Amino acid sequence: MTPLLASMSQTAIPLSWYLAVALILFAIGTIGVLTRRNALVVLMSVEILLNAVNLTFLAFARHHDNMDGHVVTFFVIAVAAAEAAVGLALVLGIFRHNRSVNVDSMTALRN
Amino acid sequence: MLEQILFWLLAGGAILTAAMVVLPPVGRNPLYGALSLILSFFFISGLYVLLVAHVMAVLQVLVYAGAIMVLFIFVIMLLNLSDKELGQSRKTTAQFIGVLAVSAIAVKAIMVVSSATGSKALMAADAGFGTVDGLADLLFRQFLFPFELVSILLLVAVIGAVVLAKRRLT
Amino acid sequence: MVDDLLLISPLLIVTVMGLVSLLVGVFAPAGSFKGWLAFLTSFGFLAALGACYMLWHETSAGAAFSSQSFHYSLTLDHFGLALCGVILLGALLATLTAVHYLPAQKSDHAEYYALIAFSALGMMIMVMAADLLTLFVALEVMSISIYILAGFKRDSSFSTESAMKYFILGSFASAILLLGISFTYGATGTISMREIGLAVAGGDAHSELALFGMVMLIVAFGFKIAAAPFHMWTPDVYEGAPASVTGFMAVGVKAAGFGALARLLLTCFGAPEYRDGSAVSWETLIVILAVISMCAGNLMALAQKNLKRMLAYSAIAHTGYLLMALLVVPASSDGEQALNALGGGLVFYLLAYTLANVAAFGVAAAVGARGVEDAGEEAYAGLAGRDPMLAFALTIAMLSLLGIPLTAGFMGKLTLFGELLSSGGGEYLWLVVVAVVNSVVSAYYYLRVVMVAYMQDESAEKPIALLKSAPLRVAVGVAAILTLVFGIMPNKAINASTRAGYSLVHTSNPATYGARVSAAKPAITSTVEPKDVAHR
Repeated sequence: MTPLLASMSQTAIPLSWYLAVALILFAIGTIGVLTRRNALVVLMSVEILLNAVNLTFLAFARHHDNMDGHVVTFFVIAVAAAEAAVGLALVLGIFRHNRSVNVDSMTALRN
Repeated sequence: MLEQILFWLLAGGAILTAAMVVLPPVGRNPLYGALSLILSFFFISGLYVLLVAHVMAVLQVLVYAGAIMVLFIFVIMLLNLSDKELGQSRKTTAQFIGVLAVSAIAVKAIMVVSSATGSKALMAADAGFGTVDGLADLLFRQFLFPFELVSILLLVAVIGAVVLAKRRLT
Repeated sequence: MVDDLLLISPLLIVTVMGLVSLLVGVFAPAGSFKGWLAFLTSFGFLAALGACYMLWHETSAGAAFSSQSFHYSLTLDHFGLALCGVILLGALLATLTAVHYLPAQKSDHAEYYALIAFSALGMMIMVMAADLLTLFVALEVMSISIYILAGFKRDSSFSTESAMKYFILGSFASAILLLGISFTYGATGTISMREIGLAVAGGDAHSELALFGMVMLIVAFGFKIAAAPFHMWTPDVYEGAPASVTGFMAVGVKAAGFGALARLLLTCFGAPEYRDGSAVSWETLIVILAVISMCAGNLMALAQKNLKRMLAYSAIAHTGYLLMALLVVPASSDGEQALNALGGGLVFYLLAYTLANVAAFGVAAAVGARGVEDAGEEAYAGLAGRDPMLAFALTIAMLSLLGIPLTAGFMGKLTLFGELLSSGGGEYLWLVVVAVVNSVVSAYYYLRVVMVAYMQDESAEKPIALLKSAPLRVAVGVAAILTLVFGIMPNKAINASTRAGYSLVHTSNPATYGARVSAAKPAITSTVEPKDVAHR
C-alpha cells in the first residue's frame, strides 16, 4: 500500500496534508501577485498568501500541541487588516491619478 | 472517516475558490473575485476547526470575511470600474514561465515537506488547546509586548488610510 | 516594573513623540507651517539617543541584559543599542531635511512626523526583537509607515506609484517572511529565537523544515534590504518617494534589516550544519546574494542620470558589501573573535553609510524641492557656484560612498574587508577582490556627480532654484562633518561597534543564554559576568 493510501485509512489527518493545502494556496497567491495586473486582485492574492501561512501556523501548532502558532495567526489577521486598509487607500490614490487600477498603467516611473 | 471527508471537501473548496480569484476568466471582474475569496475564507475557517483552532476559526470569519472583505467590496463598488478602466490583462511568456516556475517550486516544496513530516496522523489535542483561555494566557503574558505594538500598527494604518485616500487633508 | 519601562525608554520616547506630533497636528490651524513639529520630533530622537547612550553605559562591557517583563520579546544588548543609535541618528538628520522640503512640495502635514517616529520605532524594535513574532510585527510597523511615507506626496503620480510598487512587493515579502517563520516554528515548536537556537544546536529541530524556513527568511530579508535579485522595487521607490523620505528609508530600513538578519541568523541558525559547509547553508546563500548585489548594483548604477536613482543602485551595491560582514562568522573558527569582527564591520559600516546617504539625499531634497522631481544630472550642474556648502557636502558623501581615505566610508570598507580576511584566513580573498574591483568601478558614477557639480556650468535655459532651508543645511553639514570625523578618528566608533558585536556573543550563543533565560531574573545589574573586551 502506498503511504498515501495508508494514511487515508487512519481516522485523523496527517500534518503533511494540511501543509500541502497551505502550499498550494501559497502558490495560487504567488501566481496572483506575479501575473494579475489589476491592483485589487493583487491585494486579494496577498490575502490568500496570508491565509495560506495561517493554515501552516495552525497545523504546526496542532502538531506541536503548542498554542504559539495561534498567537501568530491572531497577529497576522491584525496585520492583514492594517495592510488591506493601506493597500486599498493606495488603490484609491492610483485610481485618482490614472483613472485605472491596472498595475501596467503605472508608467510615471521608468522601469 | 467523517473528518477525512470534511477535510477533502473543505480543502478542495478552499483551493478551488482561491484559484477562482486568481484565474483571469472569473477574476476579471474583481467583485466576483472578492465573493469567491469570501467563500474561500469560510472553507479555510472550516479547516481551522478541524485543527482544533476554534477561536481562530471564529476570528477568520469575523475579521477576514466580515471586515477586510467588506472593505474590499466597498472599494470595488466605490470605484465602479468600467471594462476600459479595468485594463486589458496582458499575457506574456514571462508570466507563463513565472507560473510554471511557481508551480514547480510548489510541487517540489510539497514533496519535500510531506516526506519530511511523514504520514503520521496528528495526535489528539490537550484539553484547553485552541480555547480563548489558552490564547489569552499567551497573549497577555508572553506576547504582551507585540500585542501592545499592534496597537501602534493599527494607528499607523488609520493614519495611512487618511493620508493616502482623503480628498483634501487640510 | 519601573525598571522595565526605563529599559525600553528609547522606544517609549519615540512613541510618545509620534503621538504628540499627531495630536498637535489636529489642533494646529489648517494650512499652517508644520515644520516646527520636525524640531519637536528631532528633539524626541535626540532624547532617545541620550537614553540609548545611558543604557549603553548601564551595562558593563560585553554583557547583555534582558528586560524582565519583556524578556521573551526583547533583547537589549549593545548590538541592539548601537544599531538603535544609528537608526536614531539617521532619523534625526532626515527629519531636519524635511522642514522646508515638505511645504515646497505642498504636502506639509503633521502626520509626516508621526509616521517617521513610528517607523523609527519599528526599526528599533526590529534590531532588539528576541522572538519571531515581535520581529514580524515590528517589521510591519516599519514597512507600513514607509509605504505611506513613500506615497506622502499625494498630488504626484510618481510618489503614489512608488508607494504602490513598494506596497505590493513589500507585502509579498512579508508573506514570504511569515512562511519562513512558520516553517521554523514547525521545525522547532517555538517562536522564541533563543529556544529555536537551542533546538537547532541540540539537534532537536526538524532539519528539512528548518532549512526551508531559513531560506524563506533570507529571501524575505533580501527584499527588505534590497539585495539582488530581490531588488526590483528599489530604483522606482527611491526615485518616486519624496527625497526626505528616501533618505530616511535608505538608511533606516537597511540598518534595521541588517541588524535583525544578523541576530536572526546567529541566534537561530548558528549551528554548523546551517551556518557553513553544506549546499544550502546560509553562508552559501549570503555569498551568492553578496556577489550578485555588488555586481548588479554597480553595473546598473553606471547608466543612471538621476541622482536618486543612482543612489538606489548604489544602495543595492552597498547591500552586497554589507552582506560580506555576515560571512565573518561562518568563515572563522573562533566564534567570539568572529562576532567582534562582525560588529566592527557591520555596525561601523552602517554608520558610515547612514551619514553619507543622509547628506546625499539632503542635497537631492534641496535641489529637487522646487523643480521637477525627476531632475536629471543637469540639475546639479554648477552646484558649486550656486551653493558651495551643499556641493562640498555632496562631494564628501560621494567620496565616502566610494571609500576614499579620510572619510568614514573608507574606514568602514577597510574594517569590513580586513576583518573578513583576517578571521577567514584568506578563504574569502576572492570575494574581497571582487568587492574592491566593484568599488573601483563605482568611482565612475560617484565621481561623475562631483564632476557635474564642480566642472559643468549651470544650464542656462532651465535653472533650478535651490531650496533655502537652514535645518536642511545643518543636517547635511552635520552628516558631512561626522563623515570626516569618523574617517579621521574612527577608533572610538570602531571600538564601540566591536563591543556591539561582542555582546552578540552572549545574546546569540545557546551556551550562554540558556542559563539566563531559565534563571528569569535578568535585572539591569545582574547580567552575564561582565568581561571587558580589552583583556581577551
